[in-house]
Amino acid sequence: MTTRPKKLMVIGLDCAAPELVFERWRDRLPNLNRLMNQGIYGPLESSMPPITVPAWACMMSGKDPGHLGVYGFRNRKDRSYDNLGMATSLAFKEDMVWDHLGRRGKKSVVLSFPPSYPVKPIVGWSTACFLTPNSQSAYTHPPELKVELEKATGPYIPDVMNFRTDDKDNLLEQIHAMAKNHFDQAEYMAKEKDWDFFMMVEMGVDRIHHGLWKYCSPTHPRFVPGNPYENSIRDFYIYSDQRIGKLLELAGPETAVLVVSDHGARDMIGGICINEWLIQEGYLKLNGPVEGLQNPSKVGIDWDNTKVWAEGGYYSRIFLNVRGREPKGIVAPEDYDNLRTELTEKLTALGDESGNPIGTVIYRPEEIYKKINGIAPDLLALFGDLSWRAVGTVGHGSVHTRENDTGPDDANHARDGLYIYSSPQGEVPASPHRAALYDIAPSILKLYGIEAPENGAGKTLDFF
Amino acid sequence: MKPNIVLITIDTLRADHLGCYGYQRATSPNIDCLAKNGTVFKNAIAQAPWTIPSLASLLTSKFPPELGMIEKYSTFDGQHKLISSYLQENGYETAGFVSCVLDFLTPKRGFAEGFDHYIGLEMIRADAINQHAFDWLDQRSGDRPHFMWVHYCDVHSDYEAPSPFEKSFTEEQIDKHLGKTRTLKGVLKGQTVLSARELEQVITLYDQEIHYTDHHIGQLITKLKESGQFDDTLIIIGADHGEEFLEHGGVLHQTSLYDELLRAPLIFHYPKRFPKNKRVQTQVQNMDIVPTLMEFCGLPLPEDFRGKSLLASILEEPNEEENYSFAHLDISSFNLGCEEWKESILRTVYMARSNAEKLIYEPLKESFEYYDLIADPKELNDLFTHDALENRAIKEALLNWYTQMERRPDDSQKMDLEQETLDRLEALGYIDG
Repeated sequence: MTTRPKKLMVIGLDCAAPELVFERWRDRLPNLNRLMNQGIYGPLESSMPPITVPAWACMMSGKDPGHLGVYGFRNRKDRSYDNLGMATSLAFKEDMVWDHLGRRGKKSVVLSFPPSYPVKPIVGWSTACFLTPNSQSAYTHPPELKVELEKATGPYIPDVMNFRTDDKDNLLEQIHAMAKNHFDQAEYMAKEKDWDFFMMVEMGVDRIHHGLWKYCSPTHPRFVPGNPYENSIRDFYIYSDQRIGKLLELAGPETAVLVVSDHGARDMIGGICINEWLIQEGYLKLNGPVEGLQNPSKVGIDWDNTKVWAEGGYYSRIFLNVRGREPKGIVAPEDYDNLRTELTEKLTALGDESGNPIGTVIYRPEEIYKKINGIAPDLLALFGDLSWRAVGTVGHGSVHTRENDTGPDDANHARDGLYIYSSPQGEVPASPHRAALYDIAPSILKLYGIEAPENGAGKTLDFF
Repeated sequence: MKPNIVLITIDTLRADHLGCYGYQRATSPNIDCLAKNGTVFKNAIAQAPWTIPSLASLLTSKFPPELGMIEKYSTFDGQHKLISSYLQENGYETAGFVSCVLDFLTPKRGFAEGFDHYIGLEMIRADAINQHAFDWLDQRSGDRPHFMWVHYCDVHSDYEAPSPFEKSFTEEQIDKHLGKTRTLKGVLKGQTVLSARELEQVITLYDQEIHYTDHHIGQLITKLKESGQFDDTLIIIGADHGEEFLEHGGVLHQTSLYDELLRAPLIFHYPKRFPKNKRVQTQVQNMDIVPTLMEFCGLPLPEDFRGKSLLASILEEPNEEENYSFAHLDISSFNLGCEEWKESILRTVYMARSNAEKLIYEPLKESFEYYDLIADPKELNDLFTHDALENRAIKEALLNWYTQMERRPDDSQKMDLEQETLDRLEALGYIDG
């Protein structure tokens, strides 16, 4: 008979990068290091796309984005051209780990899990994620928790409210204040509530990566050795490690611990202006001249002469304007697959400004998802395997840009996040062990003696 | 001199628990007496199933969304006149005596606008409300007609009528917890299950609060008689909304737009000029009360009133032509602290109702419910299919109304919030352009 740990504490660090924690700064992170020495750890392959929404929801439901019908922060609600809906908590209908636990009477504390705004009821206690508009919003379940938490830890800081700033000192201050607020909340909840399952997600790592990566990553093209922010990310990892140490004390030796991230980070070299490229190649036609940098829909798209358009972001979602499917579709259904092949070939061949290959990867949704709900992109494009972002605006005058059009941002997401699992009953495995984000939910449920949900995209990890 | 007007509203009083609406228990001898000597609207529909939006609408003849009065923290924005203001400007001395949940109807929410004298207190009993009203009636000099709004909140949970009314309809000692809001919220959350017997007991406790309130309405009428004003006073009895007793799985109110929550009593009593013992079957809306009072006082109806005067229906033949009533409910996490309840009730819903049909629409899910009120007055059999609604006038009426209401002033704020969040996501690089 194996005894199982009674409780699990999950500490989520959005965007925490395996190479930084496992190698580069391991010696400076005593608490994470101890967990690694005691337990098992390794890279955690993210969802496709490897983006906060839907990645965390995939992790805690065990379902892939196709099943969830959520392919990013904004999704097409129908086949019309302009109906994009924001994926808030309401977009997710699948049970999360705590829903399964709640049905069995287990109480959960879930803090800042993305997306959890508007806040939904759970068995236990929760705070809503960074989508919470401001500290005045209703962001707790139960509602009276808000007053209790604020008495103990001050007003809620859901996110860095002014990210688009060149004032890096101010940005760092905001990120640290936010993380302090979240760890304070976590400590309070871990101590005061009688929980069976605990999970927090801290966005600070993601925000500091996006804001300060080029100052800290020696491989970034714009890295300047000796710059004043060179250690800013490292110091934030150290701060997070200290706070994690306090949480581990509160969790006690009988609690299993899982530290996890939804994706990693990597240098962002530049951007591929996907809609510029579509225009150049004759797939996309606009109604009028472009003034400055504009979204194609703001300029107006000539749908009668447009075969393909795309949305930008960390990756690109490419849509075909298919006859009988889109309102003014012109691509014949029988040409649909050929056109996707043609686009895939051309885009994978597209190199940098000098024509050097960048390693772009293109997926078809049906290849990567078990099921497709909602409206999936017809192609998902990861330029330079995410070392180049996808720029949706037009007016750049070229396909390549080295300036990010939405503000300072020098990191993109990497496909591998990380996990570190340490159980009081666990055996120490020999070497790092690769796992997938989709494996987390069934493995957690196994800890509590609950069977994996049907149609999951992952497997149960045997060391849980 | 113009007649006085006394508008009596009872919080959470569903019409079908009154004798004059066919209830088997003698909950309401005093109201029934007014009904016998007045005009009873058998199908009066409230514009929302909870206090703030419903009374805001009743007092202004506008829909709750266009007033921006749909949330727990809603406050009148000063752009909409209450009936009290119209009457005050036209020579009436106005007074409000109001008991309410929390601070819902207090002056800081704007409900005291247009009242020369206003008492708005949290959950005070009917006898205390009456005492305030009686004191005011005693001290006022009688050279102007008066408009008095009295709102009793006793029927609202907790149901625990004071002695001797705790024994009005039962000899047994019912467990007090059954009448507590906390217990009933437990039912909504799925933590408590009521047995059939317990449900009956809950209803008994509720009915006893009606009986208690009716008694004090009797006291108010006696006061009007003693002071010689009764014959020259138009008395209106109404309610802001009803209450659920598991007809559709819910209890309390605020969770749905079924008739048990929307059918309110509506009685006009003025034997001097109005017919006695008249019953009007065709549906009307609570929003029609204010236009009726305006016409009664000979005042012109402002163009932006949404309701219609019922004066012709009272004095002449009821207007039987097809009409729609509308109701709205917003239970979001912005609202009401209902998050603690089950998720399925977090929603914004819109309703249109004719004499024969009801259509409920939930835009977020793009879902409809459709009921035949003649064959299925309890609304148990949802007939919705897209085919069933094909070319139905009620669908057009509902969607037209929804489109108007959707652009409510308070949306701009929500849009700002959404835009703020989108801007933040864009700055973070999640979205682009």
